Amino acid sequence: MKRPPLLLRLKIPGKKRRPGCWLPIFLLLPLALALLIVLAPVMLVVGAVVRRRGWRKRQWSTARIVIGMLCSFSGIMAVVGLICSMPGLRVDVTDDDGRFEIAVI
Amino acid sequence: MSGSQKKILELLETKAITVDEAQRLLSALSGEEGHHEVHVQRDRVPGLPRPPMPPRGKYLRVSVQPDPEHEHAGKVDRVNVRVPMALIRSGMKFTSLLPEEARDKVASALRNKGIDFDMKGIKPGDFDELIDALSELQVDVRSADGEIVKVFVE
Repeated sequence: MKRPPLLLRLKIPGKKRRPGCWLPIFLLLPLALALLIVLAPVMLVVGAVVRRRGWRKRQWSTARIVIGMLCSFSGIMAVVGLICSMPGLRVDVTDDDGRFEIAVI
Repeated sequence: MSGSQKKILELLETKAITVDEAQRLLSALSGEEGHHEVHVQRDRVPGLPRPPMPPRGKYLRVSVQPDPEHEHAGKVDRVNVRVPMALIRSGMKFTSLLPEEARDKVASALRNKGIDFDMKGIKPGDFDELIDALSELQVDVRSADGEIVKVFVE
């Protein structure tokens, strides 16, 4: 069963050996949910307008595509699904500079 | 006679399947053939219940380990990546959100490079098949300087 990530472990290599830090993502989830509820109607309207009218300048076509994709109900659900699939992701790289680690729990 | 066996015989009677296919299906139902063949055959024959799927892998692992002989010699590079398969599935679903014109642009760019690939033909069910096929992926490479690269699904 998917669930949103709760903790993020981050360890960045540096000159001094520092322990990694644990970021409490679960504290940000209520804020993110509140922002989503408030901004969702605006995003849906913007997405509908962008998809229908488009941008005049050609170099904004990529932004138009991205906004059109994400500012829709299916786009929002896809992003939420992506975030809820992240628990279990782990990247651990050790080289001469030290150890870089990201773990999503 | 079970319901599935009766269904196979009915399909044979209406010539929806050949005698060979009916024989293979009946053998598979009795458990003589491999699980994978049953899955492939039943996909071609409508109306038959799908066999239970083998358990899917949960994580895609990519591992780069140094040569064990040089491991204690000094500083070595190591990579250990674990990606949840659910994350890969969710990422692939983004392709279905691409607008029509973007897909045409991507297809046109690929065609210019000599790759004839049409994203319109991709259905959501194809992602599950691709992920299932990925579950059987196993790569084990030993490079010239002794590094061991492994890619597998667990």
